[in-house]
Amino acid sequence: MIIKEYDVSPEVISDDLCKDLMGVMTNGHVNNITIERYDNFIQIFGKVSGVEQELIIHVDGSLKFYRGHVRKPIPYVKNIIHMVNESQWRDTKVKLPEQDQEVFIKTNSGINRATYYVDDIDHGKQLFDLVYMQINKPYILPAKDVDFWLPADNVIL
Amino acid sequence: MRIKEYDVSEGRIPNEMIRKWFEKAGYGHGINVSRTNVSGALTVEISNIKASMMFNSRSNLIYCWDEEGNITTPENEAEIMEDLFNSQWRDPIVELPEIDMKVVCKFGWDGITSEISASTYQSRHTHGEDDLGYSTDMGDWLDEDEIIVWLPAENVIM
Repeated sequence: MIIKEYDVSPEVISDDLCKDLMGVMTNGHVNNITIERYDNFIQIFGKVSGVEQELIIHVDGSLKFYRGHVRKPIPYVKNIIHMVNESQWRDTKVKLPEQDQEVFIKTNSGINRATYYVDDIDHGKQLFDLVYMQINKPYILPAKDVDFWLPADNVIL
Repeated sequence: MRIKEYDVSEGRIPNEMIRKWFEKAGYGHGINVSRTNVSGALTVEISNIKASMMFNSRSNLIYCWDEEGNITTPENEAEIMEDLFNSQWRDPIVELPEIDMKVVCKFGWDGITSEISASTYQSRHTHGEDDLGYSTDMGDWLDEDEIIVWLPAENVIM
C-alpha cells in the first residue's frame, strides 16, 4: 500500500512520534533532537556520537534518511516507514469520514474499500458499506466496529 | 501494509525496467546497472555520467545523485516508488501460489483494487467438483479469476 501524500501536521505526526522515529533510526543512542516543520515536509535532526542524523518526511509520500554533514544517504531504516504509514490512519473515535466519502478501512483480514454513510432511515446509524459485495453476505459494518480509515483518493493499493 | 523484503533480483526487476525508471526520473539513458550486497541488503544502482539512482531490497525508498554527488529528488519520485512496489506482486496468470499457502491478495474488478486480504490458496469440493480458490481470513471464498495479484503472506506486514 502506498500513501500518496502524508499529513505532516503536528496532530498526525506529533513531536513525540518524531522523537520516537529518531530513536528507532539511531537505536536509541540519540540526543539533541530538533524538529523543524515546513508546509511540505518535516525535518528531524539528532546526534549520535557527534554525528548528525537527519530524517525527512515529505508530504509527497517519500522518506529520506541521512548521516553526517555531507548528508550521506542511509538507504533503509527498519520500521520507520511502517511507523509513518501507521500514523496516517484516522481513528474513527476521533473523526469519521464525510457522508458518502470513499475510504479504505482496516479489518481483521486486511484493507477494504468502503463508503461511509449515515443511515437516516435506520436511526442515524453510522455505517461503512464495503464495496466488494458477495452473494448472501451483508457487507455493511457499523462504524463502531471499524477502528481506522483513510480517504480512498490518498491511497494506492 | 508493507512488504518486508523486496525482490530486486534481475528475475523480478529486469535491468530494462530499471532503465525505464531512471529515464522516467529525468536522468536520461542509464548505462550501468549493478547489484551488490550491502549489509545484507541487495542494493541496486544505476547510473550514467550525469546521475545515479539507488534502491535496495529493504524498502521502496529511492535515492538519487547528480554528477557532483548532490542528492536530488525527481519530481515523480513517488510514482517510481509505486512502480517498485507494484513490481513485487505476482500475477496469478503467470504464477500461482502452492496449495495451502498463506497469501495476501488484491481483488476487485475492472482493474480497480477493492481489497487487500489475507487468504489461503486451497481447493474445495463443491457441486461434485474440486475448485481451487482463495479462502479469506474473513471466511469468504474467492474464485481464482477474482484475484488480481498476490504476495506470500510471510513477506507482508498488514
